[in-house]
Amino acid sequence: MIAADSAPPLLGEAAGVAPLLEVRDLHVEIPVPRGRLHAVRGVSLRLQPGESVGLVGESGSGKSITLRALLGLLPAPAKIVGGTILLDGVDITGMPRRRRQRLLTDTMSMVFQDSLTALNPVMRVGDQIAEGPRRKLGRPASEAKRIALDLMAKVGIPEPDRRYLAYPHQLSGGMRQRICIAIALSTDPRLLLADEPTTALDVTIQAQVLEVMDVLRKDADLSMILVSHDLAVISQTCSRVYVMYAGRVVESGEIRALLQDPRHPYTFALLRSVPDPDAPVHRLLTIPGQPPDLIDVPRGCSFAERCPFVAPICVASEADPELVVLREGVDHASACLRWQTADSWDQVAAQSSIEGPQ
Amino acid sequence: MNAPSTTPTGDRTEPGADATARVEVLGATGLVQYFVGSRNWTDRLRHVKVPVVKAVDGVDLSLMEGETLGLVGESGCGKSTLSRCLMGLHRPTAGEIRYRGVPVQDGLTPAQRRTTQMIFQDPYSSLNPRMKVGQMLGELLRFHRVVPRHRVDERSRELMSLVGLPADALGRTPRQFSGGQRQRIGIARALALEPTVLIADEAVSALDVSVQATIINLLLDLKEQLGLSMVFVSHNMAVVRQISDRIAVMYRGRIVETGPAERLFSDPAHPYTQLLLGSVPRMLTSPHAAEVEGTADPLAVVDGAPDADESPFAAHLVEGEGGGCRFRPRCPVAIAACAVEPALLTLPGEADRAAACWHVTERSVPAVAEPGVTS
Amino acid sequence: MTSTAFAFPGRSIEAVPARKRAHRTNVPLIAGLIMFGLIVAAAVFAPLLAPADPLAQDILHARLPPFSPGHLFGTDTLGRDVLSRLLYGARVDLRIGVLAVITPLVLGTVLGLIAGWRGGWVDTLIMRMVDVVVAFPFYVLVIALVFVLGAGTGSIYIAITLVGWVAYCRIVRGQVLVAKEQEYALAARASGLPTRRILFRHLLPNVVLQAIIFSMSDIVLTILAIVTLSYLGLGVPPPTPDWGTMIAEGQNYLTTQWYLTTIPGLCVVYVGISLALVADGLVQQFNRR
Ligand SMILES: Nc1ncnc2c1ncn2[C@@H]1O[C@H](COP(=O)(O)OP(=O)(O)OP(=O)(O)O)[C@@H](O)[C@H]1O
Ligand SMILES: Nc1ncnc2c1ncn2[C@@H]1O[C@H](COP(=O)(O)OP(=O)(O)OP(=O)(O)O)[C@@H](O)[C@H]1O
Ligand SMILES: [Mg+2]
Ligand SMILES: [Mg+2]
Repeated sequence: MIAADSAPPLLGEAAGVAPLLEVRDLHVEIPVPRGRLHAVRGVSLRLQPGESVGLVGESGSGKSITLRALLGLLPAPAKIVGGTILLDGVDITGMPRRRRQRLLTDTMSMVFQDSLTALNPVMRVGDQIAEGPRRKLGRPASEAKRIALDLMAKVGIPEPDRRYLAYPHQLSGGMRQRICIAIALSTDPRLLLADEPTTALDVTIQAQVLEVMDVLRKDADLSMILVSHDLAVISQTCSRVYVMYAGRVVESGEIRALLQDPRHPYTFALLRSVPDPDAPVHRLLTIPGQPPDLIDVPRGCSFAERCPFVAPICVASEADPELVVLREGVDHASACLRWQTADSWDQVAAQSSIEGPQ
Repeated sequence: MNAPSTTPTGDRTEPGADATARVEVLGATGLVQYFVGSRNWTDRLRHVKVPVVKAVDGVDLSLMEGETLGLVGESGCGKSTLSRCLMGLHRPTAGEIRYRGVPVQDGLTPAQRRTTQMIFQDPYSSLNPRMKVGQMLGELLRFHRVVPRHRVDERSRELMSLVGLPADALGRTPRQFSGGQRQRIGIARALALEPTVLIADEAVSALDVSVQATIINLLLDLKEQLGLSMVFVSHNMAVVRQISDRIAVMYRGRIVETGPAERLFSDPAHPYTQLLLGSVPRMLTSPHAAEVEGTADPLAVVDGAPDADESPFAAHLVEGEGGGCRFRPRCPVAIAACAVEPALLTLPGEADRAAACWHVTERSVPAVAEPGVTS
Repeated sequence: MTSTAFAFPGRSIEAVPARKRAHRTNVPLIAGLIMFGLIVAAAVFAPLLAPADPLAQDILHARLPPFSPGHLFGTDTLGRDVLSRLLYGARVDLRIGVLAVITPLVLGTVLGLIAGWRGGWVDTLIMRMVDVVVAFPFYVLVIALVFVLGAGTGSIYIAITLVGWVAYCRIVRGQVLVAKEQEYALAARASGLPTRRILFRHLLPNVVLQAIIFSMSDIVLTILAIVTLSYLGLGVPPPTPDWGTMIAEGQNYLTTQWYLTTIPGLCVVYVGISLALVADGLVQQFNRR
């Protein structure tokens, strides 16, 4: 059921530096009444210190579950059922639970996608930020408060003194999101797992928040995994990107190459759906159909059903195609068996409009 | 609800022209919503002032039949509060809300409630954690008698497929979905009642671009076929531009600029709109990407200003209390006149555009009154 | 940087059947329900199970120790069979315990819902009433009420309801204040549902858990209250067997016939433990969904 280690080899990286985080063939399952929902099906990631990588993909493709698995904070019935996580080159999967959790929370922190539910509704937001420095870093109360106010100002919350005393429901969606970012940054993590951290922010504040993160990345070697649907944000923040579909990484590589020359039909179609802020169109292009049922995954490539370029070979084998490096020495890998035909995709798509009947 | 894709877009590019001829479905005049904080007894002893948040501070707005009004603005400027006021979920501090010309007295009537629906911003807290999706939709369909009882299940499944979710989603609780899937459940809930007015507060922010495109196309179809009027709140300028006929830009509780989408985007009048549009992130591969990094953006002006040691985005520097124009503390082109707050001033030569900035009077009349679609 | 490819201990995917993992048994809930069910069954079938008439006195065989022939738990000072009295006592005590908790639970929950949701003067009024009740110590008020109403089960119900609802009211109101700021409550309002439906179908399931959990410990407290009242002669009138009266009567013989107080006392503890397990299980059950 699980293929051999499919991590793409180290590419375009200084060979000497050990990756901060390496994930190999991660599998997560969620028991549901109907069976087991295979939410993450063999994800491999790699992250250098001080590097930002992007994670994009279909809604429901397992991005949030992957991040939560890394932090050991999966929602109730979900379980990691396979794979290895290496932190600073040390395998943490075999560690005793308590020690692993300590190590994980010391190294990384997460900005959860659900910013309101992640906050305690009956605790002042300022105290929630100050809690990290106090409890985890053991700072005195006054200093923790100063850190909290400082962070609130940094992420662009107006009048931090006053907002310090507010309860979550008294803040706007974007402010709550910034509170969550401040909480995540308050413990000086080395790795930030940011799950759609800027969805509720306007573009100017978004730029400010990303700037704060970028400064931390340069000055404090903060690494970041950024989940976002905004490909423009990813392209300006991250050096590499992983594209997920139905619980698998279907394409990965250096951001510019991937955006200019997508080698997986899902990425290809996704990029065509991006609305351009400078030129509205009559009708946006979509990808017709729905992602496969993750409880009972169909044979072959899981995108085959929706793929405009599908061929018999795509569903010939039982398992999903593996992620393969396209060219030796170039950081670009695709899980499409027919990636070589990518050059003709543009024409095919132009003829048989990718847009669905809807 | 499938749209024949051959349908012409109608007057999407220039709706302002006939907007006045249409009926106003939803309007507000002088709408004010303050939140008065609470003081406990220690605060009272120390004579701490009661904190007042001026979330919405005098908004005039009207939504025409079949029109999509894009509402954009800074995070925390009061967009959600305004949306909730329009839905009758807050009791406004002052001002008037009208439904089809009739002022709302004491909350909406049941009929108004049914025809006006809202998609809430937070896909997590806006779904009842203890109700299955099917129960939630079924309750609405049954209670409002949208369809006959025996068709409730069928209609629920239709709604699911409309937003791209499998039918078995009906049997699950919200916790078992991803963020984007929940958001689509919220959309399905709002559409279940077949509203004629939809207030969409960040309705597509958690969706990947292809699903987002599906939803936007769906909303455009509904608008075309059923004449759906919509207030579309979003931070994603590309989406707003795609879907809106008219745009209202909000800043700190007030609308500071309105106008038809195309002309507002191609030639923003208010400095805040310029700042906002200038900061839209572009794809590295986009031909416009270079432009942003160059000097073409309005922020460059701020860099030269004396207090430029802070980031020009530093919204936290601004304390709203100075009086005068609310954008003045951040404004790169502030002048003495800005000590008095301007009302929405009509742009010269463009009767359907207005901006709350003293500089608009200096604008030259556009050579061509109808710039049409740019690029 | 060495690592085995699959280091997770629980890796053998095929080994564990899906069903079993999907619905992992809720041990405390089941254990608690079984324990509580046993004693309820014992109470219901007391006429069949009891070896003797709980009221039949037999001075000749008074104060028999436990495990005497024919009297598993011995006899009391009047020669009545302790086991039979325990079983019949369970009928009385469980009935009062459960009933005297359900009414305050319902009353307090409804008032708490309304107070939290409506706010304003309604809230103020209800909370002032709560304050008045809370101002007196629990027992003082209950005893005073029973005294005024006259001893007996009816008075106990009324007294405990009048005093007990405040706890539920406060718990539920606090939860409603948090829940009503959640957007799902707004969404329910926005979809035009009537207030009653929103309160009872949307909010109630989200706020009632705490109250139900509290009610579990409240049942035990109520039984203890009956014990206390019986001890003061205000509880269940004497010949009727009930654990409180049994404990009270046995207290004079604590040094010689320790079992007369200990065995009914253990019954109270048993009920307490079973309900605590149920409460734990409920928390697990609700948080899992
Ligand atoms: N608690 C749960 N129980 C059952 N299924 C779940 C649960 N949580 C998530 N899932 C399923 O797991 C899959 C992956 O979810 P995940 O939250 O990782 O998606 P995502 O990639 O973050 O999507 P989005 O962009 O919409 O947030 C989804 O199909 C979802 O339905
Ligand atoms: N219940 C409340 N009590 C007190 N203040 C509130 C309350 N609700 C909102 N506010 C304040 O009102 C202001 C506007 O909030 P609102 O949610 O309308 O902003 P928004 O424009 O929707 O922002 P975002 O884009 O971040 O969602 C904020 O300053 C917020 O703190
Ligand atoms: Mg997610
Ligand atoms: Mg908002």
